[in-house]
Amino acid sequence: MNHHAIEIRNLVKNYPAFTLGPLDLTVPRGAIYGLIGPNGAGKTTAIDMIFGMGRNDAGTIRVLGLDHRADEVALKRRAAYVSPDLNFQIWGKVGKAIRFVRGFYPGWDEAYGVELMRAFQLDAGAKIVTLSFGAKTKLSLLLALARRPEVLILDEPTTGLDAVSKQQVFGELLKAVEDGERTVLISSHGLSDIERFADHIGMIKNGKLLLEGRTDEIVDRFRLAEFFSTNGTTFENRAGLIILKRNENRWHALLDQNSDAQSWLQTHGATEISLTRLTLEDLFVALAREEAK
Amino acid sequence: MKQLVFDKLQRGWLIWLLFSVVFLTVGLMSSMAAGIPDFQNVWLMLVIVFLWSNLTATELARGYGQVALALPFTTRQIGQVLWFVAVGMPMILLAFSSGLGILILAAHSGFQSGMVLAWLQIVLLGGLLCGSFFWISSGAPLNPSKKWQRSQTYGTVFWLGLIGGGYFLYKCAWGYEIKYLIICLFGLIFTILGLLRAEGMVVDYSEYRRGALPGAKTRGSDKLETGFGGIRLLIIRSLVRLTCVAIVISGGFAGLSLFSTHSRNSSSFSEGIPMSQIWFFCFVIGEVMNLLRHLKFLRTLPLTSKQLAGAILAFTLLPLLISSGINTGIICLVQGLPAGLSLFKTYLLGVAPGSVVVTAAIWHEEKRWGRIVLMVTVFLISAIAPIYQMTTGVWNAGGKDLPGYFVIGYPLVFVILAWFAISHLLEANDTTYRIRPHEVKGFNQMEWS
Repeated sequence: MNHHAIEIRNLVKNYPAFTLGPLDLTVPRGAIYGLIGPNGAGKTTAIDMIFGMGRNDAGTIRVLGLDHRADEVALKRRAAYVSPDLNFQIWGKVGKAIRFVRGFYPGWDEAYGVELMRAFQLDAGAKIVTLSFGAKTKLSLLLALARRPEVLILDEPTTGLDAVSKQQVFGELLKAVEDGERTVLISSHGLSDIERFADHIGMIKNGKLLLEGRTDEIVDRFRLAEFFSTNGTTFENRAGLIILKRNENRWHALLDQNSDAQSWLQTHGATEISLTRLTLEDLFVALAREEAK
Repeated sequence: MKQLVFDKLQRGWLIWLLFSVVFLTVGLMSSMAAGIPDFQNVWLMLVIVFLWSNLTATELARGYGQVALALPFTTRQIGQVLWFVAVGMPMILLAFSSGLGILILAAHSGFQSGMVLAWLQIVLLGGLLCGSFFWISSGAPLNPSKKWQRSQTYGTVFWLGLIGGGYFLYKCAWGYEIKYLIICLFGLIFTILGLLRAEGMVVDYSEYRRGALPGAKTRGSDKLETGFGGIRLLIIRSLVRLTCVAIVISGGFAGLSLFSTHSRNSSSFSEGIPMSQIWFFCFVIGEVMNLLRHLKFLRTLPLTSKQLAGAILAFTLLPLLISSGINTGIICLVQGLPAGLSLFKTYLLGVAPGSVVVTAAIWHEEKRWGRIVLMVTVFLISAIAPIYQMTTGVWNAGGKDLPGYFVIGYPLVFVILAWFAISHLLEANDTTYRIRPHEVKGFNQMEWS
């Protein structure tokens, strides 16, 4: 049995002004995987491609061992997709949208669907056009969860949700994966939520994977280094070291503890090196800022 | 204000150019057939109103009002810009295209004294028609309003007045000039009222909150409908709904034909039937455009691109075939079997351009010139056979129907090509999915509740 829920290998998609990839992404089974990255990094493009919205120029995408093109229908039966971009208005009412979607999935869990409707305060008779943005996202989530998918892919699912609704959404996601067999891939800009709920993260920048691994390991791997330079020494970016700020002889840098950056600093005149733990958000901002430079 | 007007001109020039060309061509054809300037085609006038009211509503629904309100202009100024674009511009285009048409006519068959008067009448009537519809759109009865019941009552009274008044004018023995004067007077009043409350167009749309509309109240129901779902539900519901629409449109056109001709016999009853299919086709394309906003969601369902392409084509072509059946049935009853069969052949051949239009609708987001030219060329090729059949067929007293094998084979080829093209677009073209759900919305918004 394949140990990975999603395997993306050497995925390339070329646009006139942007190239996604070559991208490698590995989402282990049973994981909640947070896909993060700045706007325009290629997250939605990569996710859309899993579901066949656009053809990849190179590379492979496998979900539960199924090829995203050759086994398209089987893949879509076992994986679900949630996004605020999904529109259900054509079905008029919440109940009718549910009826439509239910028709595709023999394994639809009726009781769970009703439970989710209550939890999300969705009314079967409510007109979809009158739902708030957040309620539409909840409907999208209900339609995905009630079919009990093995892989759930969410693109910015918490956009437009209030704090309570966010908790609800993540609560349901956690419930959905509690048996350890179901996998969630979630793309979000809510980094505090990702840090709290995702056990794995992958960071995309300019269409390429920058970091991937267990959330705690990645957050633990980087530190904010504060140090002083002596005799006018200047420091520049190098492997494992990203200079963030300089105030005369006082320096701030992002330091990768898996590299030799700390010992390199010490041997090159940095003194009073103090290391501070970063949040995922701090880490993200530091890496994104490095790109902006 | 100039910037706002120029912005609109810049973004809408292609539609306006196309409109002018179509209006000029149809008007010229009609005038040459009649031997007098005949640009006051009632269907063309309705197209003008439908086009402009829809364009303005679509712009507003896309958030134009909110963006414009954030600019340093008063709400009234923005409303006046919309008024100019919805009333002034069509009037200018009408003046230009019909004026050019009349000049061509004059060059072709000599200048007639009534031509200038006819030109003035066309421009005035078209402008006032647009002005009246702007008035309707800038508040109740068409504009979405929180005062729903009031606007509905208002609307009902308005439409009853319009239909009743129109019928009265048609029936009464007053002279043409007096009737024309009355129509112009009412049109002028509505046009001025529209200009005076032009800001209503922007304000009401900006205040528009979906949650405040009737139907937003929840009843706490978690009981779901039983029965089948899936694509079967989509197709069957669309068939039922669109068949009802087809019956209404065919009935409406038959009724209009009956009342617009002086000899009320079975022949005049069936005159408008063939024309109704074109309007029904426009309606179906509107529905397809609605469906396309849901493509991203439909693509996540367990269907291959080929299956989804088939469903989209079925969603469009089956209702057209049903409508064709209804219309053919009526023509068979009124004009006999040969005429009915001949018309049905035209309808079958019409499936070819229909399938091309569906493909173009899916492709429309790309806006690449090469592809636009390709689609227009393919459309024109696909339209040759139905136009030939329409003009030379038995039902049109031409007596030269195209052979049966061709009538079946021709549209079939285009349907198969469309099916391949759509499935390819669904699979390979990611711009297909860039239609944002909340962006596009016109009057013909589809719901199946």
